[in-house]
Amino acid sequence: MEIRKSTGERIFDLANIIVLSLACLAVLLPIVHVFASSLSSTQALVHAKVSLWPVEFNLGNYAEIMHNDQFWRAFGVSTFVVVVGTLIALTVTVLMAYPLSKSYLRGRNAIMLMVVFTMIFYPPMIPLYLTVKSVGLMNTVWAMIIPAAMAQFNLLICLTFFRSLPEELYEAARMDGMSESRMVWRIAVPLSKPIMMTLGLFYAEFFWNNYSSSLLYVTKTAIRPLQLFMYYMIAKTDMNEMAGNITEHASTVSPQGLQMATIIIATIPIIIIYPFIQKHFIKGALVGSIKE
Amino acid sequence: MKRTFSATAPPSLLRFVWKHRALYLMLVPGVAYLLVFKFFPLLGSAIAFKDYNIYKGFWDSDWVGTKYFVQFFTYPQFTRLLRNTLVISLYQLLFSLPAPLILAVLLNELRNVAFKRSVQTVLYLPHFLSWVIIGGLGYMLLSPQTGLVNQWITQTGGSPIHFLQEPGYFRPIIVLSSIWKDMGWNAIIFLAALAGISPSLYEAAKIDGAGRWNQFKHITLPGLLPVIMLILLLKIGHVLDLGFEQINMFLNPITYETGDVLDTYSYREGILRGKYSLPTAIGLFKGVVGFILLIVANRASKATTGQGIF
Amino acid sequence: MNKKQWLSLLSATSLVLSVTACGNNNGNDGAASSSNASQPAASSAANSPAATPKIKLIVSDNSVPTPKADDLRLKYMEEKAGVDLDVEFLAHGTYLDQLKLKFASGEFPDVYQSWSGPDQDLVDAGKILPLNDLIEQYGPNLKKYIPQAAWDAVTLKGQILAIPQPADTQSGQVMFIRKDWLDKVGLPVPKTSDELLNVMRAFRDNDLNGNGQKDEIPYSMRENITWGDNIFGMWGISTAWTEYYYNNEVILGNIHPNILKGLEFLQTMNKEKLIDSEFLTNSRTTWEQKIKAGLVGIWDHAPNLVTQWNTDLQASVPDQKPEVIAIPTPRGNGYDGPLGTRWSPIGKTFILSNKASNPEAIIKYFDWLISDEGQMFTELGVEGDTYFKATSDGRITFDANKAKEVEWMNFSFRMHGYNAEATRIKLGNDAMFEKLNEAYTIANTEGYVNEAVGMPPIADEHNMTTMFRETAAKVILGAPISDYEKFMASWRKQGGDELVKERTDWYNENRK
Repeated sequence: MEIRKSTGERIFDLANIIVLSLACLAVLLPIVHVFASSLSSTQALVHAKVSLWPVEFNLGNYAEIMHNDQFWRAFGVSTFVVVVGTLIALTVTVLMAYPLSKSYLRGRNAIMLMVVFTMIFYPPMIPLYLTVKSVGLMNTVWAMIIPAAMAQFNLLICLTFFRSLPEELYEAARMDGMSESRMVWRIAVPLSKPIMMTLGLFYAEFFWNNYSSSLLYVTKTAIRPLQLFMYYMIAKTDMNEMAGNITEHASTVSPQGLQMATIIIATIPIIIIYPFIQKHFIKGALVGSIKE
Repeated sequence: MKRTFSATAPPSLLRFVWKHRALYLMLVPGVAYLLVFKFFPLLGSAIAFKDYNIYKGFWDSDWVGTKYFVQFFTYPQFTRLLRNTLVISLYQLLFSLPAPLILAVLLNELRNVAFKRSVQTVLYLPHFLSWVIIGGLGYMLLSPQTGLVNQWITQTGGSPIHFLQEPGYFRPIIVLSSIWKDMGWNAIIFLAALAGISPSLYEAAKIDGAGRWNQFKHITLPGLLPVIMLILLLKIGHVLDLGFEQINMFLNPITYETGDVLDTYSYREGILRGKYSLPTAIGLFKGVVGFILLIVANRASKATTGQGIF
Repeated sequence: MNKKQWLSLLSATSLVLSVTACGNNNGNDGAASSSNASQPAASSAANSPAATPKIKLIVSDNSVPTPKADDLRLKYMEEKAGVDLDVEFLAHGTYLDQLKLKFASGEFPDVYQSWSGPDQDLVDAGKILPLNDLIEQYGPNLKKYIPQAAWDAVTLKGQILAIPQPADTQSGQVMFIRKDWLDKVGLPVPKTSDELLNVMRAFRDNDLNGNGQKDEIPYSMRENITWGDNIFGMWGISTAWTEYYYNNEVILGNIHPNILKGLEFLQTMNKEKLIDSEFLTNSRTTWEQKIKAGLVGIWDHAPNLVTQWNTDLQASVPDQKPEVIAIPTPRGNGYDGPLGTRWSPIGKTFILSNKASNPEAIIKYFDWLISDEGQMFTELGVEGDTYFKATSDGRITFDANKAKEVEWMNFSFRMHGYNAEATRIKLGNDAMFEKLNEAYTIANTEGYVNEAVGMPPIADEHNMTTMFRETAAKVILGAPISDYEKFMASWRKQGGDELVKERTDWYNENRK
């Protein structure tokens, strides 16, 4: 049965569209500028001529980054870190969130206290470095994964959602003889699809964009992740400028342009993957569950 | 919701753990991770209490007790640092926290799926820009010499405003840039929460004749409450922890008045001078204050909304 | 609970983990460019039982590409100096942090590079090797080419704690001016602060970039009151990390009475719109951009960059026919002391560990690097590869296309200061070389001693950096000068006096 919209609702819908469109514009314009800058020549940037369209269009900045064996290698390293890291992180998170969502679990509060405590007091650089080193992770890909195996914030989000799943669901399964661990993967996770997707996205984005772990723990160029590679590339171009060296590509490659290009390159994979996740943000993921 | 066992006394702790060993086993990876990579290195924070000589090593450095805390507390502008930090934090709570929530709700009300999806994708893009670039963009807008806003002002007959150099504009700039950068990305978590609300609830309400506003009040909002409270509580716990990179980007000596916060002070007088004990002391101070506030807020939240972290 | 017990428990667990984890073990934590050129020792010593001394060395990569392990230049170095080098290049951006972390975890190389003497902590922990005798015996070239000021900068209580590379120039900042603008307004190079004001006014009013707009910026500097030291320098003051012996006290430049003159001058500049209105917010990129866009008339920068600025401006505003030169710091009104910026006598330093197994070989190695032969090598590379000597007149030409390949040598291994001859060859452009030489001469003749060099670093500066920046900014923007005087007094009262006393005492014990 269709219920007719009131005038109030119609106005609201229109206003909504207008407001959101304005917000989009406010976001899109600067981003287009960044994109256009990455495609402009150094002189155009120096004279601040670029607004929304590239001036003296050239792919120099991108070529500088991508025509480099190291780029593809770093890309591969990052991909590995993202895929493996996200899988590990999601697993650890889910495994920890599930028991903590049971209000009858003894010792729950103590553990929650520890989780929040470590969120607020974070370890300083040197002790953390020594820890990572003593566990034998220095200069391995794992140094970029294990020390970030679980983000407490994501744990808390996961846990909040698991809590909202009624215990009756589990009761029924328990009576059918299902084991606790089965219930995690057969009941809790599938019913929390939007959250799983979101946490997956958060972890993936973190692993993809993170370079602070590799900055200190990775000195082998062979396992440098993409962000670190691009970071050094910018530092190198900077240094060349400061040292008074004139590089052959100075007219098309500039530290500014490079910075913009690196951001665009880093963002593209996320833009590609996001639509697949968006599908799950539709109302009604909790299909076929309890009747109110 | 307690499970019932025998009608007599509750089982001892050991028996409880054994009975639910599956659950406790599941906790092991996460807890081990926290212990090794978060808890254990924290003990190293004791360097705040030492004249940490990393070559003598941890155990042999001299104890100087509270020296670094004293330096920090006796800075003549200490109260200013605290005030700036708290005020900016408060502004963020008031504006930057609701913004993604409102955005998520508005997005949720859109009928056209294609429009909804594209808007969403566009809006999270700024999250990937670094603060350095955003600082540059801010400069392009607000510079008195070449900024777009000032050009518009002079064209309409006014004289240029030095936005980046007036203490009064600093805090609004911080809040607005925060919203611009992260509103879209932070909305994602709320969108996921919204997707988790059962549609049958909405249908039932429609049948009962509830309009969209009532649906929002009685279904959407309560459905979002757990996430909202979680994020709010965590923000309270991090009340003295502002985004250092962001503030530093826009800060300059003239705006210290309204913008110099604990983290920028700590960076300038500590890290830049190679002195690690000062930043650690400040970090501890922030942590203690935040933690206490969090516990208090958690109690209050449980009492009023029934939601809490523990 | 006993912390040590916890520690051992956790260590035991970690050990178990590390055995099973796919970890890398210690030893050569692989820097890609670890060059273990383990060729048989140089031919002459092929049969000698004494193996070539091995040296483990850590240097910064200075953000330039690092050589592969079999780079011929590395081998050349090893041969000439008779050593077996194990070089680890660490990324420049995190160099000092990485170094600290390595030390904290117990990894100590034979010799490492820094930019000053060793950390006081290291010295206190007895990890550093004093070099006085070794240099006497094995370092004749080092003694010849390194000036006393450089040695002093790394000497503590009479002990030489590092091998210093002398800086290219004594002072590190000079004033640059658009000579073409000066010519256009028909004014001579300013020699006093008043003349400078006139030049700046002329720059402001005469549309020198020819675009019909009054957008010229006579003088520009950068955020946090940096890169403006030649203005303060007109009265002999540098505002950061600089200390003076004045009135029987050792004080920071920020509380020296002469700083008031500089602040007043800047205040005037601000009032008359002679200084970039955004000087407080100029990031490095923005500041560079304005200069390159041909908007700025005068600015301060490092002397060696004069060639770069000329090249950049010729590329960006060729129709202005730009010419950039360095000028001596003008003399401030009513002042007759030394002008310019503080002297920093050293570039990079190399520090030896107490546990180095072949300290004599290390000293001999650096001695070779600074010898005439070594100087040519680190500047130009290997003859026949990157530079060529004409057989007819002995004239040397440098292959500029290969410049990139030898950058790392210049940055990481050059031990000498300014070698005019090599620089001229490398530039390959006599006009540019003249400008460079001029700039260097200025930087070497002006300037003054910084007492802080060689003193232990200041532990607690009582928030001087923060408070100076804030007060100075306010004064320059128009607050009365008396505000700054009040600041000077209150800083001293709130603990500054203790610092001054501390530094003066040290000075009296060690320098008088």
